Amino acid sequence: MIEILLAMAVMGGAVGVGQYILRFIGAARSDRAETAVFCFALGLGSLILLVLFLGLVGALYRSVIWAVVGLWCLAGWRMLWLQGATYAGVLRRMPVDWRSPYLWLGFLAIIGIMLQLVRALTPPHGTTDPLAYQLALPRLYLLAHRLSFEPTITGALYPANVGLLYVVALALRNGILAQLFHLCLAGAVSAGIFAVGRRYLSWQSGLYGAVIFSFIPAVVFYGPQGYVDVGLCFFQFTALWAIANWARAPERRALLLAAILSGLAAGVKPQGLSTIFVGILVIALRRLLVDRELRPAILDVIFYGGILLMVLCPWFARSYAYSGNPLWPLANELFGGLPFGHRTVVASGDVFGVASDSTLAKLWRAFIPTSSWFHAYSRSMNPWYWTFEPPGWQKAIGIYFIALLPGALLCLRRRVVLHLVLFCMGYYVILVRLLHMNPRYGLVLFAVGSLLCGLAAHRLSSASWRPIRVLFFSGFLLSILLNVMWNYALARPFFAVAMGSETRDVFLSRAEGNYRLFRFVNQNTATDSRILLQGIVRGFYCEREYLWDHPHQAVLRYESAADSGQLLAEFRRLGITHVARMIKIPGGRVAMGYPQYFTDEYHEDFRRRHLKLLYQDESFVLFEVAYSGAAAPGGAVGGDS
Amino acid sequence: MPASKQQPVSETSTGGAGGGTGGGTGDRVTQVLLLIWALGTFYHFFRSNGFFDLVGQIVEFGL
Repeated sequence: MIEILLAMAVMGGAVGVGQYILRFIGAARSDRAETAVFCFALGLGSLILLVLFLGLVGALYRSVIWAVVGLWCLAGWRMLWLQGATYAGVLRRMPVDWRSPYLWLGFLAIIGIMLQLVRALTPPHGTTDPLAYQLALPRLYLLAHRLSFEPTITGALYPANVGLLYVVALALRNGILAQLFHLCLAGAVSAGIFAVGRRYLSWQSGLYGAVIFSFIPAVVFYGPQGYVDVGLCFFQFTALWAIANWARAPERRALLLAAILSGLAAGVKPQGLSTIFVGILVIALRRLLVDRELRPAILDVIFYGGILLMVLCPWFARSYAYSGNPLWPLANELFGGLPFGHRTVVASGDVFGVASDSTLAKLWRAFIPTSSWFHAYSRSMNPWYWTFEPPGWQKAIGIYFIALLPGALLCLRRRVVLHLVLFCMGYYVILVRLLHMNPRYGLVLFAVGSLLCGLAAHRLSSASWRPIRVLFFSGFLLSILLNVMWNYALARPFFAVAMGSETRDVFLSRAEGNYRLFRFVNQNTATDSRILLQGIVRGFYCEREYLWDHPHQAVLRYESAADSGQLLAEFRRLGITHVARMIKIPGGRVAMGYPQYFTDEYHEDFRRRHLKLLYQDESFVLFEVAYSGAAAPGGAVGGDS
Repeated sequence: MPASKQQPVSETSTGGAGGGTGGGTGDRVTQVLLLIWALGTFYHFFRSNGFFDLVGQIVEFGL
């Protein structure tokens, strides 16, 4: 429960610090809900930039982070304290009709979020991405006390703004706090949808939209875990909202706010770069089509791009300094960066055509795919299948978009609705062409879609004919009730550990395959040990430096070591002291190019000659590298075998 | 620097979200069709994804 208090302290601090920043920027404020969400985003952004600075100067020590975050929180809470009377007044004046059906809707949504909270209070386990990247990299940064670079980990140099929040979480407490941060960001998206709905449509539309978003299966599943996709959605949503505000009343201060938020969004992960594309397009269209002026269009685009680049450039500079490629490993052939054994694919299918095409043909192909492309991907890009037969959680969008969006299309005569629909259509194209047709990478589309669904739901629940109102609201409420039941079923296995009746150690020992192995590593190896992970992807629980052995890494070169003696020399060069290995590599990974180490003659020969068994369970083993005739780098190893 | 005040642009249900007003037959037919579509897809989705079975299990085995 300490994690909940820490999360509340940081989130409250963010709102308070954001107040200072918003005052400094001086952007127009229309209502309190909008201001609170923008302040929250700006406050988190300031924390991200603080940690980024600490990481770049090599000051990522727990004590330093505690001190910096403590002062930051104090400043934020001081501002909240000063404004306490205002907030209390707002709460007192808030009209609450206890018979309102909307109250029930909000109540059910809160129960759903509480059930997600149970899952967030469970130690990170099971899913690959957080334990391999999003939480694992922050742990490596803390071990190295700086934003270090491990070239065997894919995406180790990607921008990672939310990852920096996870650095704070791991420094203050643990991975559970990181999951709580992510869940708070999911709640903040819902709050943002409500606020946007209240401003641009109606408060009922906003409420429906917020409820719909909070029950999107992909959000329910990923929100309480250490992913970054809902965080990306939050920063993208606030950035697009700020851009929309600027388009309505083009002021330089509003553009400054939009640029800062866009920079933060683009710095969450590469998929966030699409925010910049949308931002520039909106600015240019607003100036050229509405104001019919070229010079302000150019100036505004330069201003917007310049500010967001200032927020983004530390990430690109870091990547360039380590690898010679600001986007490593993306576009590596263009920049000639550090070798990576695999060409990273950005687009879906043959989006840029074949190599022999001219530049014009490639551009044409990027926008107008071939019929064979449509044929090949028709199912993968189809929202109908994302709804009824999703191939995994990341494509599960739930029922509300298919059920309610047709109703929103009937309101197209309203300019706001038309703009929202145009955005959704445009972003759907981006999602399909550039974001791997993966709704998890483009949740902002579904956040905006939730607003449109909320509009349709409000339209039906306030229809002139009473039976329609009653039937629709009953059906919608029932659907939310079913979603709450589903949330309960997801949370039920974790009540014991979340409430403390089962210890986290016992839980992880049975729920996370490699936890016992890494617990042994953490307790029995020297702190400067360097572990080679063979067949193991999830390194989060390893509190030692490690390398990934996978077919695409270009660090440990087996092909250049003809025999076990040369391989030992290669191990020595890399400072590897131990090998943690999965005993039986799954067929899927073998098909990707992983060796089946224990049946591979080359690896078996090396094991017999140079590896000493230290630990074994039913799935994993740990070896110490025996450097014959010389002391193993990294020092002594204890424990039984 | 004090922030300038901007009026919210929200519209309430009256004419805003398209509800509450309009009582023409065409409007009513459209709303009935939308209602049937929405409730029909809800039912299909929750039934095909086993939500009703889930509720049955929760009721049978208790919380």
